[in-house]
Order: sequence, then structure tokens, then C-alpha cells
Amino acid sequence: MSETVINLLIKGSWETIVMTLVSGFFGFVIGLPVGILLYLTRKDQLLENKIVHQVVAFFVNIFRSIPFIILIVWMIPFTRNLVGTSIGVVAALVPLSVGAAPFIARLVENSLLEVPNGLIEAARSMGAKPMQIIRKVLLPEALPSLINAATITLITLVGYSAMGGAVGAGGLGQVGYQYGYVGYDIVIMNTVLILLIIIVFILQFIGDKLSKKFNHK
Amino acid sequence: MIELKNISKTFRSSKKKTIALNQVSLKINQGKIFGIIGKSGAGKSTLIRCVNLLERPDEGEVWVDNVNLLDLSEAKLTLERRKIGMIFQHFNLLSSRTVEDNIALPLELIGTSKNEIKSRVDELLQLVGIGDKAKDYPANLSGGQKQRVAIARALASNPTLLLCDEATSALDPATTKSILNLLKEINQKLNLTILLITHEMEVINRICDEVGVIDDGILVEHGSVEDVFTNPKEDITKEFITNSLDLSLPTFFEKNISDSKQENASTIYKLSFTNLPHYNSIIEEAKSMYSSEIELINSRIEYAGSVNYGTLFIKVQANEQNNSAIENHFTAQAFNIKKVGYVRNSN
Repeated sequence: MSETVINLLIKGSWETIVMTLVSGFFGFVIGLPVGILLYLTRKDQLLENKIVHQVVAFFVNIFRSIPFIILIVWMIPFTRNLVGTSIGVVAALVPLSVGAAPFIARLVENSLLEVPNGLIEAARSMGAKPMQIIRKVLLPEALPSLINAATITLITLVGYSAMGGAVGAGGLGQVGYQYGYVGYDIVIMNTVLILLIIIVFILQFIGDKLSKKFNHK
Repeated sequence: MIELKNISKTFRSSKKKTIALNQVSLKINQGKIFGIIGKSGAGKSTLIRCVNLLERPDEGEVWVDNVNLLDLSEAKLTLERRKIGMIFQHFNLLSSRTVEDNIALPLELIGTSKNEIKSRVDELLQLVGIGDKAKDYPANLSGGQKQRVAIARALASNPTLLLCDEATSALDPATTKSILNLLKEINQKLNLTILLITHEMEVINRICDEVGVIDDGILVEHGSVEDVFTNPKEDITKEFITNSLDLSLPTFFEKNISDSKQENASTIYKLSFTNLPHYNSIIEEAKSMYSSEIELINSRIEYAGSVNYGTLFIKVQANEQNNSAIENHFTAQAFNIKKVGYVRNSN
């Protein structure tokens, strides 16, 4: 393998990691509050509100229905408006974050549902305000499960970012697509695959370790 | 002082409505331990949750320290709840926090300073007797230790009232006893009013000053523990008292018992009584009067304060006439007598 190809693969790996982590971060910035809102407004929960819940759930479902490859293309005008370009790593962050957010919201909602109701009841009986219940009870108690949700999200984003590579997002996906598929170089194609697998394994390993560290059940 | 006035609560689902509480009124004086006993589904859990408005009654008034909680806004109610501690059957400790951090939670909510929290938590750990467990996570504690943590947590913000929702129902008998002793100790040391609900008469008998019996959402009977044991008015109360003895026919008799009388058979009776200081002489009297064999199979006598109550199984070998005379004798002496069945005599 020539030095240029190796550099290409290193650059691609780095871009994939950046895209995954940064869009994962922004995905959580949007998805975490939305997930908390979905949870709180559910029936029999702290801020039960059918209308709010259904409206939020409606938009979450819509965005979850759009295949990611179509979302990228569909969002191009918005992406260009926001970051000034529609190709490259920075441009890819926009649809990646937007694509991950509703997915994260549902995972967060599920994690919070696992927190035993008795704990919320105990907090209410202590005179905890809703924000205090979220900060001091719900989120800490759901933390191991939220870390698992983050791991699932990041691994999904590795896949999404590779998909984005086909339409100019950069990263290992683009390397694999351009040199492996279009250029039909089996070595590059397989190396890209192995690199993606390694990234996924590392993410899963770290996620499991962290989740275990914070789980005192 | 706590006063509930005409509390009613109905749960409605699409299919049916369930009346959980029906016009319940009760009053608890400062420093007393009031126990509410009822079967599962009787409404006792709803009742205790109505006191701090975890459950909002449909009608009635809930007075805690001269404030009607139902008049308060949600924000004011939140503040008022800090004066009411609560412990639960399943402890409800945060698994993500150590013992000391669990106890600190109510103090964090009111913005207590770190130093103050530290000294208050140490004090509470000593009070409930788990000083050595401060850094442990709840997962590593036994049930009794978890309930001690929960009690310390409930006491952290110096409440005037402690609610105990089946606090000992998940614990074994020895642990139950130690937790009940702790509650009594706290009640006396801090002059803390306690309202507890339970399905076990033993809990009432052991620590309560007053008892209320709830059945089908209605508070059917209430008064001092001794009064209720001395003179239980409702059948359900009598049932709780005798059932608390947990006495059953020995397996040997259970296996050989039949409903119909055969040749050469004895009758088995179950007797129960409350407040009969001379129960023993009544039995002796029956033995001598009817010159038949009255054999005691199994018995248990307990005391609630100075009042005794008990259940016994006897085997009577007599003719038809004497059998009914014996039944009458016991009934006349305020025993509750029930024919359980017949067993064949062994020879």
C-alpha cells in the first residue's frame, strides 16, 4: 500500500471519528431534552400532557421515518444555509445530528422509563421540584442505560457517516466508495471495512466499561 | 396534628370505577403512632398517599399542622411536603447514590450547605445504627439496612410527620421487629407523629397507640389499640386479631379430617377469644362439666397491652348431646367457636 493510500485511510478514519463523536454530541444536545420531554409528558408521568406528547412524538416519528441517505439530500438547502456548504465533514454534521436526534430521543425516553416509579414517588414525597427530580433522580438513575443508548447511537452514526460518504461527506465511507467501489480496489475496500469494524469494537468496549462503572444496581 | 376530613377517592378507568376511599375521617395527635390495618385492596395505600397528596383525594380536607394541603398551589405543596417524611415497602433508595448521599438528598433539595449536610448525615447514620455503611451502595445492603437508610433519609429534613407505607412487609420477622423498635425509639426521642399502614396485626400491636381498621375504602373502626383489642366491634377486626396468631391445624389432623361424622369419631373445634382473662378456667370447667375428653391440640395466646387474645384447636370425644352442650358452654363464655370437622379415633 502506497503512502498516499495510507494517509488517505488515516485521514478517513479521523474524519469518521470526528463526524461520529461531534454529531453524536449535537444529537444528544437535541435528543436528550426531547427524550426527557417525551418521558415527562407521558400518561401518569410528572408533567403528563397528551397534546404536547403527541405533537413531539409526531415529529420524532417523521424524522425517524426518513431514510438517512434521503435525509442528507433533502436537507441540502438547510445545511448550505447553516454552514455555507453542502459537502465535506462539517456539512455532514448537520444531517447526521438531525438524523441521530429523534433516535436518541426515543432511546432516552426508554432509558428513563426503566427508572422505577417508586424512586420518583419518593422524590416527590421529599418535596423535590420537577427539575430537581430530573437532575437528581431520573438522569443519575438512568445513567448506565443512557450510556448504553449513547453507545448504540455512536455505532449507528459510524454507519450513517459511511453512508454519507457516498454523497460527499468525507470519512472512511467516501474512501471506501471512491477507491473501493468506483475505483474497484479490493485492498482499500477491505481495509476500510476492517477500520470501521475496529472503530465499532472500540466504541462498544468503552461504552460497556463506562456503563458498568456507573451501574451500582 | 394530622386531621383527615371526609376523604373520598374514586379511580376511574374506561371499563369500571373503583371506590378506593369513602368518606374517611381520622385525627392523629402530635407524637402518636397511628396504625391503619386492612387487607390488600382495602384502600390503605391510597389513604396514606392522600396524606402527602401523592394521590389527590376527590373530596375532603387534609390538615397537617393547621394547613389544609388541598388548598395549596403545587409549589407551596412541594415545600409543605418537606415537613412530611415517608418510607416505603420497597425502600425506594437511589441505586446511583451511596448511603450517605441518599440520606443527603432531601437536604440537597432545600439547599443545605455541604458542611451542614455532612454533620446532619453523620448524626442520622448514628441514629439509625448504620454508621459503618456510609460509603456503601444500597445494592450491598440487606433489607433491614436499606429500610434504616430510608428512615434516616425521611428524617433528614426534620419532619413533623412520618408516613410508613407497609414499611416492614418486605422484611423477615426478626428484621421487622428491629425496624419497629427503631420506629418506636424515634417516635419517643423526637416526639415524631407516625402514620403507618400494614396488613399485619403484629405491627399494630407492637408499636401503635391507636389503630384504624379499613375495609372496602371505609374506616370501619378506630380507637386506642387496647380498646379495639378489648372490644372489637367489626367482624373484620376480630378476623385480623385472630389471624395475627397465624395458628393452623397440625398437618396430621388436617390430613385425616372429614366433613361427615362417622362411627367412633371426635369433633375438632376452633375456638378464638379476645380479652378473656379466665380463658383457662373456662376450658377446665368444660372438661369437668361434660366428663368427656376435651383435648387441647394446638393453641396460641397473645397480649395487646394487658388484653389477651388467642386461638385454640380442641378435640372433643362426646355424644351428640354433649357436643352441643359444649358448644353452648363456650359460646356463653364469649368464645367464638367453629366446628372444623371430624377425625376418627385411633383405637
